[in-house]
Amino acid sequence: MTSHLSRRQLVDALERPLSLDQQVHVDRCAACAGELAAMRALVADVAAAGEVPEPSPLFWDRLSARVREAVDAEPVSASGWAGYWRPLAALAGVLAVLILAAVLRPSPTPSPAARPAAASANASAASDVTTSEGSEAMWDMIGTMATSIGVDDARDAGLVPGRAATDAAIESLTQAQRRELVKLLRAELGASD
Amino acid sequence: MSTAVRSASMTAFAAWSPRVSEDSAMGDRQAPSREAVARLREADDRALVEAFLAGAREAFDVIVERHQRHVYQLCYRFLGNHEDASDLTQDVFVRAFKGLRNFKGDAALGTWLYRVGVNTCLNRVALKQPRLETIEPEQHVDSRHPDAHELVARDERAVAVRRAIARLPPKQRATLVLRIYQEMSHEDIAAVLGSSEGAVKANFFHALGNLKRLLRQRP
Repeated sequence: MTSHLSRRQLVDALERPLSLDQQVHVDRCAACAGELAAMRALVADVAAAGEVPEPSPLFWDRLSARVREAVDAEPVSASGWAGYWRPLAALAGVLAVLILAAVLRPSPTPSPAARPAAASANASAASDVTTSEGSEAMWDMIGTMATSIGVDDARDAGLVPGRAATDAAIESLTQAQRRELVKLLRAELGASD
Repeated sequence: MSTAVRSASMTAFAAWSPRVSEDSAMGDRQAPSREAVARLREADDRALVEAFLAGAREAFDVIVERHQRHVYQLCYRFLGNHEDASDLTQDVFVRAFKGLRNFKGDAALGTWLYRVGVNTCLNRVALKQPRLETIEPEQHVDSRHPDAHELVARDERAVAVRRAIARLPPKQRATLVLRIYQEMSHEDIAAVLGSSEGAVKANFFHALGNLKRLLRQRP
C-alpha cells in the first residue's frame, strides 16, 4: 500500500485493527501514524469528558411527575383514543364477518328451469342471481352479526383480515354485494360517531 | 404477537384494568392500586406498550420511570447542562406518548426512545446554541488529594472538551455523542440520523478535526 489512509480507513482504524498492508504503510508513514494517534487521543479525551453529573435522588421522582403532568395535559385523550379506535374497530368487525361470509358462501346452484337463462345471461346478471332468496337471508345474517361483533371477538376468533385478504374479498364481491358493504360501513361509522 | 408476549401483555393489562374505567383512562385518572402498579413494574417493555395501547396510561408512567435516566443522559450530552437536559427529557417523553401507537415493535423500546430523543435533541440544538454549565473544575477536587493537580488538569481538559463538543455543528455533535457515549454502530447512527453509513463516518472524521481545531484555539 503506497497511498495514505483515507478518512474512512482512519475512522475504521479507530475501531478495528488495520489490515496488514495498512499497518505496513502506517509503520513507514509519519503523517498517517500522527493523524491516527491524534484521532485516538481525541476519542479518549471525548470519552473521558462524557461523565454526566448525577442529579439529586429526588430529581427522578420530580421528572416523572413533570412528565405525567405534561402528558395529562395532552389533548390525546377521550376524543383521541375513542375517536380513532372505535370506527376502526367497527370496520374491522364488519370486514371480518364479510370475509367469513365470502369464504363460506355456497356456490350458486340455479334451479334446472333457470339454468338455460343463467347460461345465456351475461356475467353481471349471473352474479346478481346470487343475491336472491338464500343470499338475502345470508346477508340479513351478516348484517345482524356485523352489528354485534367487536374487533376483540373477531381477533380472538382469528378472523381479523390481512390487507391482501381484505382486498381479495372485496374484489370477489358483486356490485350488489358491494352496495350492501357500503351500506353496512356507513351504518357502522354512523353508529361510532 | 407470540403467545408469551400476549400473555405478558394481558397480565400487565389485567393488573391495571380492574381499577380504571374507560372514562378514567381517557380523562381524569383514578389512582391504580399499589399492587397494580407493582405488577406493571414487573412487566417487560413490550407488555407495557401493549397495556398502554389498550388504554392503561399508568403503563406509560412505568415506561418513563424505567427509561428516564438514559434519555436524560443523552439530552445532557447533547446540551451540556442540567436544566435544558431535564426540559428536553420531558419533551422526549411527551413526543413518545403521542407517537407510541406508531411504535412497530421491530426494535427495542429503548432504541425507539433513543431515536425520539436524538431527533428532539437535533431539533433543539438547531434552534438554540446550548449553554454549558459553568462549573469550575477546582470545585470538584479535594486539594488534599495527592494527585490533586493532575485531577484538576484532567477536569479542566474535560470542561474544554465539553465546550468544544457544544460548538460542533449539530450532526457532527450527534454523531460524536452517539458513537462515543452511546456506543452505537455507524450503521445504527445512520438509521437514527437518516443518512448513510459513509456520511456518518465522514461526519465523525470532520467532528474530530473540528474538535482538534477548537481545542487548539482555547486560551
